[in-house]
Amino acid sequence: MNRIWHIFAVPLIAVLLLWRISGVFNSNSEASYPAQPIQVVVPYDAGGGTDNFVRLLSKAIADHELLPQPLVVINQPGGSGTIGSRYVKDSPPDGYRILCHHESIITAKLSGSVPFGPEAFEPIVQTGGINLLVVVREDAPYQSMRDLLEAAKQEPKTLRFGANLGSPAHFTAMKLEAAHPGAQFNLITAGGGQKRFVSLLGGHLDAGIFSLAEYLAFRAEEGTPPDKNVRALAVLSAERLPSLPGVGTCLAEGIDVTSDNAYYWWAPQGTPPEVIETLSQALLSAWEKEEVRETLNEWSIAPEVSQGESLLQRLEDRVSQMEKFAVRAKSDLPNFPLYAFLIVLALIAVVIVKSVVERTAPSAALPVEYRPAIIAFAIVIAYVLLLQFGLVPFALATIAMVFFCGAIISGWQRQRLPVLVEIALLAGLGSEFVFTRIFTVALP
Amino acid sequence: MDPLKQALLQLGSPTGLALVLLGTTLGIFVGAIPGLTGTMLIALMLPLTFGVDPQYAMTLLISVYVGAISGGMITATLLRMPGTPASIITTLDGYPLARKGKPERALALGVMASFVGGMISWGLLVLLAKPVALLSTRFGPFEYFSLVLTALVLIASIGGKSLSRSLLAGMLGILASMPGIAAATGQARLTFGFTELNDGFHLLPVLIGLFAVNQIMRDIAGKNSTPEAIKLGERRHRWRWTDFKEHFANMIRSSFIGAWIGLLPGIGANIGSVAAYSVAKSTSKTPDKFGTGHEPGIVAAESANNATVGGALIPLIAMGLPGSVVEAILLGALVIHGLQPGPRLFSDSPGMVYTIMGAMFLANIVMVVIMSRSMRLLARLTEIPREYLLPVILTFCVIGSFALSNRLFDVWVMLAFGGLGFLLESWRIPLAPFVIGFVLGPIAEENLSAGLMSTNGDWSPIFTRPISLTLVLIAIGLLVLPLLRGRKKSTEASS
Repeated sequence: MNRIWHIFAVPLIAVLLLWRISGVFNSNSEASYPAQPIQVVVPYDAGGGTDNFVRLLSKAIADHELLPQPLVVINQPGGSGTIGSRYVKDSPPDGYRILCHHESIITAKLSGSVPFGPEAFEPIVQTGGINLLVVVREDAPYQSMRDLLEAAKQEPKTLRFGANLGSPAHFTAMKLEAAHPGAQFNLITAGGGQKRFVSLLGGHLDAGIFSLAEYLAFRAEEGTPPDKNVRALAVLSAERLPSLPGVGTCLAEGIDVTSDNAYYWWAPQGTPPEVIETLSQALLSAWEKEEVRETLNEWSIAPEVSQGESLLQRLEDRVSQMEKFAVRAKSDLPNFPLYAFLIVLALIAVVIVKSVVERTAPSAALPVEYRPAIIAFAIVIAYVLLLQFGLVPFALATIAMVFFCGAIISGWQRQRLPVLVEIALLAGLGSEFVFTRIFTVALP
Repeated sequence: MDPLKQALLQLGSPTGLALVLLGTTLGIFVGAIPGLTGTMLIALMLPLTFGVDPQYAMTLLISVYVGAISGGMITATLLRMPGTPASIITTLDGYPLARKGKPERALALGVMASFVGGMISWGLLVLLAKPVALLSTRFGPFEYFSLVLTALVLIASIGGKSLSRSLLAGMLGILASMPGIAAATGQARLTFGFTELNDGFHLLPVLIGLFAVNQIMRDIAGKNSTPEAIKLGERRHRWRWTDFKEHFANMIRSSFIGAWIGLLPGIGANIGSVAAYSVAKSTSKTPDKFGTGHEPGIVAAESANNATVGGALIPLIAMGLPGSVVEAILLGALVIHGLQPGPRLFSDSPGMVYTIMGAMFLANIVMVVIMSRSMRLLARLTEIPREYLLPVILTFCVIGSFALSNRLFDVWVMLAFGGLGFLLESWRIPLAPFVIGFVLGPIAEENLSAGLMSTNGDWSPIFTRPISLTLVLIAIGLLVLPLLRGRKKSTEASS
């Protein structure tokens, strides 16, 4: 058994070591920017709108060799996009870690969820516009945007309008209200596009804002029963959309509201202008490619770009438009954490009382020897600390961690150590190889 | 050419079959490793499928999905380290049975149950996708809230010996899910100044912390108390045809429960097995045996969690609604390949729909063949000396937590929850309800908030909407029944 193991393990370790050493030599060559892969942080999950968008452009850049190094997509979802944006904001301004994010970056600040907005970044370029629509269920009584706003005026705060608190859609909804004095929606945080679609169909929402791509995806074929389909009331762009010739604009109805969203690329503040220039050139050349255009057309992303002065102007306009509206915080919701905490306290009391009354003996199967476990745990903590401060390369730290943990568990038995060394080398080098080469994950 | 025929030809081609084989094997492998999940593998493989034909790409991804949800059972049974939340319930009976010296038997039961569950839900997917998908729209915020409430009571009633401790565990899980940006208000709360906490604790680090890290520490510490924990049994512990008869009703019932719950976006995979297990327990003549390595427990959990796959694919295919992160990625894959997921997928690209259905069917067959062929080998996992196995698992846990969103913070979270899990178990507070509470708490809160926002603070729809009321009544029934039963038992004992 042991011999078979050695026959496999030793050559594999040799190959991995060779790869590792040659890799070290390669990366030493000094070159102009970019000399290493550029990480693009997508502050949402893989497979979402922003993610697909970034992957499309990064693929075009790689296919046409527009940059000497690839763009590597890093997904950092969470906190309505603020986890990823903060990560990039706090990154070194060397152009090796950039962000792609839409206008939530503005609304996240205005709604108070983070203290920084677009001013904390260097905008690289805006690529692509997202058209927005107001959508209701097919059988809804409203035939136009005016109908909807009139209904919201007749009975204020009852029309359930899906717009997540603090999102760009929330600000758009407030713009609509302002354009029709007296109208007031009941703005409801109803989740992402799919969730809002289901809520519309199920009658849990009366109207909602969707992107053009979402609407085209959700709209069922003609002949679907009206309570199982959705209908756009109006588009929020300045002109009618070619893909939806039958849907009018708000402007045409005399409601002075336009609204859209767009994808922007951001670099940390202080990034050198020539780096910004290189990046924006590459992105714009990718943007011009035939296959990119076609795909964007399929995804209903408008072919708008802006850079330099016009980009700064655009961002400034956006911020000043949105600043006029204060987010309506929902203060009438119960304080859930407090409730949960109180219930936990009550249950702890019950458990304590019960165990005192029943005088249950401590469970029999308690572990006997704590020491090796504590030492192993300490080794793991030291290992993560080393990685945290970047003191030791990942592979080396992992090899040491695996070896020492194994040795502690085995109680330093001599005959176990050779195999353990092999396992440690395989775990360290192998995991580095699989994750950095095959899956292009950035290891600590 | 006829799209059905084309899809079948493509799947049946050597490339198609090879992709199913590759995807399922990788899925099983990754699902079995604590720390790595099918979700992660699918996310990582997504960019690799760019250049591939879209139908082949989906074949591969669906196979990984099916493989991973089955593979989670292996380590859940043998090491008590569930690879995914869906296999937590399998640890309740699978691990005790394995400790009794029947690891192969436990695996065999799980594999067969997984297969049956997968196939039944596949049948539902093929036959009922369209009409059934619309059912999920009937569930509004209040229905979701009541469903989660019921699920929490369910898990509390099955998770341990003491109802109050299980409820406490569930509530602690909910509390642990609260830090971060609140879904309803968009404001950060309970972050204690750590901006990394703005997104709260992620599920994966919490899960592998509580189970894998805790169990590793326990294994190290308990080295001398349980010298040879699991011994391989004889070959006769494998699946027999009489078992099929014995577990037939349970498998069918659990599969249907799993598939129906799988339908509901966001909830499916995690509580399908909880519900099936608790129904199996409460209809059993010997409910006390559950949790001690009782075979029906494994069968119920495994048939239900595999059945959720087919169930969850129904809204995805019929309406373009993803039920979980995995499905959201599958949806993204469709978009990347130029397909428009949504109510029109069926009429616009029927070939893709047939490919997805066909891939699920084939992957299930490949899964059962691979797993039953390699069962003996898998069971020997427990024979690997712990000093070799545990450090490697630890490495995977660290990488897995890190790769989740590329930050070491999640690794620290994993270690902290490892310590917490160790303490909780030492105080005999069960971990399964903790994780389920952790998963479901945010769903409950989000939906209750949305509901209360739309009614302007009125709670009464919970009791006036029929589906919601039914669920609440079930929850109350589940709380009261065990108490009544316990009283009856104690009076019988005293008389």
